[in-house]
Amino acid sequence: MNHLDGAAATSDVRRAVDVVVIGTGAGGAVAAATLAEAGARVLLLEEGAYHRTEEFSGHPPEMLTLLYRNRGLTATLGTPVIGVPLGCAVGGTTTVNSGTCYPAPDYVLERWVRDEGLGDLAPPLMAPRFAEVSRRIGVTPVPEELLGPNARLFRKGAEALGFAGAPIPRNVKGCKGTGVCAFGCPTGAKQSMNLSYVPAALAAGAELVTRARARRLLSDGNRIWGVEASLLDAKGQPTGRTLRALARATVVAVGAFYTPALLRTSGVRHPLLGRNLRIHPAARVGAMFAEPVKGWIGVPQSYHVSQFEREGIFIQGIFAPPGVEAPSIPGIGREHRERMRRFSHLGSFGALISESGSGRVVTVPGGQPLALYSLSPPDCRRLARAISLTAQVWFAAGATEVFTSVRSRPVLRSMAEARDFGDRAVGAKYFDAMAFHPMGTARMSADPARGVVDGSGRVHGYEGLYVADAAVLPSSTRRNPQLTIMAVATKIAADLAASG
Amino acid sequence: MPVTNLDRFVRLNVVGLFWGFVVVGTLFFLVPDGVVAFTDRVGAWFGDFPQAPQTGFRLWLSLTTGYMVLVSLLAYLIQRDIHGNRSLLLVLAAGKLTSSVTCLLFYMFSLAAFGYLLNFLVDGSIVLNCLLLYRLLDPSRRRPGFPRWLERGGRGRSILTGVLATMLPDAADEKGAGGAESADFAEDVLDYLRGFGPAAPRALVPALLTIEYGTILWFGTLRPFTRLDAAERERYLRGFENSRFYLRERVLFPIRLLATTLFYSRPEQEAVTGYERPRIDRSGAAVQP
Repeated sequence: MNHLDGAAATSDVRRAVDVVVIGTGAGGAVAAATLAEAGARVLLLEEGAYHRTEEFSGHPPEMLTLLYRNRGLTATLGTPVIGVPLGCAVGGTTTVNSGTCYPAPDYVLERWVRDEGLGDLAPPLMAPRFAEVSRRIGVTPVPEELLGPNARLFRKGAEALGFAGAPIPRNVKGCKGTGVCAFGCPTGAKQSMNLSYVPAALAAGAELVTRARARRLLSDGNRIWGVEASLLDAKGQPTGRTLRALARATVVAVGAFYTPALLRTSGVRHPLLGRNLRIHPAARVGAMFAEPVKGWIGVPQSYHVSQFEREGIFIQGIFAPPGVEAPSIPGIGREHRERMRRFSHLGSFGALISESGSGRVVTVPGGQPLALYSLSPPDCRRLARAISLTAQVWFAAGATEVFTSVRSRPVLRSMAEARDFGDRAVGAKYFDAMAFHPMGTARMSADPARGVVDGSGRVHGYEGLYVADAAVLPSSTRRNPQLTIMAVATKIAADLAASG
Repeated sequence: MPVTNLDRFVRLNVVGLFWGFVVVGTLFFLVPDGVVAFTDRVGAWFGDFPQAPQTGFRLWLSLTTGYMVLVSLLAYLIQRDIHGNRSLLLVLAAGKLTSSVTCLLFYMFSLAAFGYLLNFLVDGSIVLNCLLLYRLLDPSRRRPGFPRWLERGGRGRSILTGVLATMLPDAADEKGAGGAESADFAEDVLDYLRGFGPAAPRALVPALLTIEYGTILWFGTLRPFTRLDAAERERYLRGFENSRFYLRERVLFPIRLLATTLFYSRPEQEAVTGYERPRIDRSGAAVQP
């Protein structure tokens, strides 16, 4: 197979190809497959390893070490500090996400057309791309039998309040509801990039080099002609060997945190590079019930409430094994222990917002990105309202207490308290927030003054340099961005292939 | 790791610096004018130096005392672990270099007082001494980044063990469930941290020190955390969790995050919570090519 593990390389590696694609996540894998299938000689680089499904045990600490960057402890710096777990393996974050697949809503695409001059992203032109990507990764709504008791209980509450909701569409083939999607699907049902587009790229003749950390792009003035990478050992440490790939086109797709850092380290300059960071801040809202729930059964992210999407509020299922839920359960010592002993009575959903504020990614010495992000007052209000709405649904479903992930008011005990919670101001520092969708740090716009890349993903002012990941999304996608990243990457790769 | 003669020399040298800083700093604080007058008298043996003016304004004395405390602490930390804290020699040298160079400039362009010249020479010598020691120490002899303080039997380890035992259920009363104290859970936490790099456990040191001695500020007692009883410890740590002072809450947050994640990921603890691990059926599973 055309896969080289950097740890096994016995000498420096040299390649000359048509296109080098850096990153194997939702953007890079799709770009690589699209280009390879169009006949281009493609080299695909990945910092992490290519793990086999059998290695996915579903056990959080092991999988955090195996599949996540910094063992899942990547975070933004600001008020509050927000954890943003990122995948680091073939498939990128798609290997460890919940598999949720929504196309960006038409009103978002229309805004991109109107404000950024991105006519090719108009809804009628994007629809076939969404359809094609969805077909290839098997996007289908979660069936009733896999919804799980956590989601069913939440749906009961949502229906009691008259909130619109539906099962979530996911990229799976033969899902058995094992419930540990965020730790690598142990049955290979989730069609993450390691099981879908990367194999497709390899089948079409692309070469994959894993454990290769891109260090800098090779350039001659404003012409980019490849990349230099450090090869890593099994522990992720440089072996001292390097990979040097020369290419007519270089596609950077290492995510909204790492893409701007790599570009900057390589001397690429643009005033908006690293700015406009959106992350979809979220809070875990747990609920205790008198009766056992067994929330771990079924698909953890199987149901969503869409009623408040236009307000920028999205409520989705989220349930994890005890080790992952435990930090969000309030209390110290005996109080915490008693709650953990009632873990089987716990329900858990995520309140997620599409923010109006933004952060930025700066690059620290050594080329590492540092994401600076603080919740703005309007976003604090929105997140508090999202938590309040989620809590109301839980109480409508019969919860006895709700955990807010807000330190100033960690536990709510009645519907009245849940409603009141949304009416009160909460300071940014009190949220124990997390986020899963970093995007926008190399935003796309036809106007070089408004965007880092043009409508074809080419970096303004540079030749041979493209970005094809979440960094190019001009604004929040309002929903989980995986499918949109893939559809936009398809477009970028198709344009590149067509340009010869 | 065997202690060499060089190690002994370096340590003795830095211990000498430490006591020198303590004595000079104390004298300056207690009798600042006396020290200046004494310096002038010494200067008179060497030549005709103008007398340093005396001042009743004590801001400079506060700053000087702070500086002397700082350099004394640096020297103290260096002699505690000369290989591990080798880089602090450069910090000490930087402080002394600033002091030396500014005195030279004052001597040249302000007042040719003997005190300026003396400080230029003394602090300049300390700079050279620190750089020499830095050069003499072999960086490869640094223990793998793990502070002695957190090793078994170390003070840091007992604080960490106390925090974990307070934060998480003590398993003494749970049949075979293995609690935070029973299986040296602290070692598991430190092991996990080492996965980020051998020096990563050092990140716990400020948090543990804050918890240990924060009792004075937040619990109204001179007893450190490790000398509180179990109920007091729980009440004290709850104060961190619920604090509206963001930085205080953040002191406990990373330890709580790591500890609860690791603790409740243990199979026996998962069983205590009632969680049933998924049975993984890989029949028909898609696999990588």
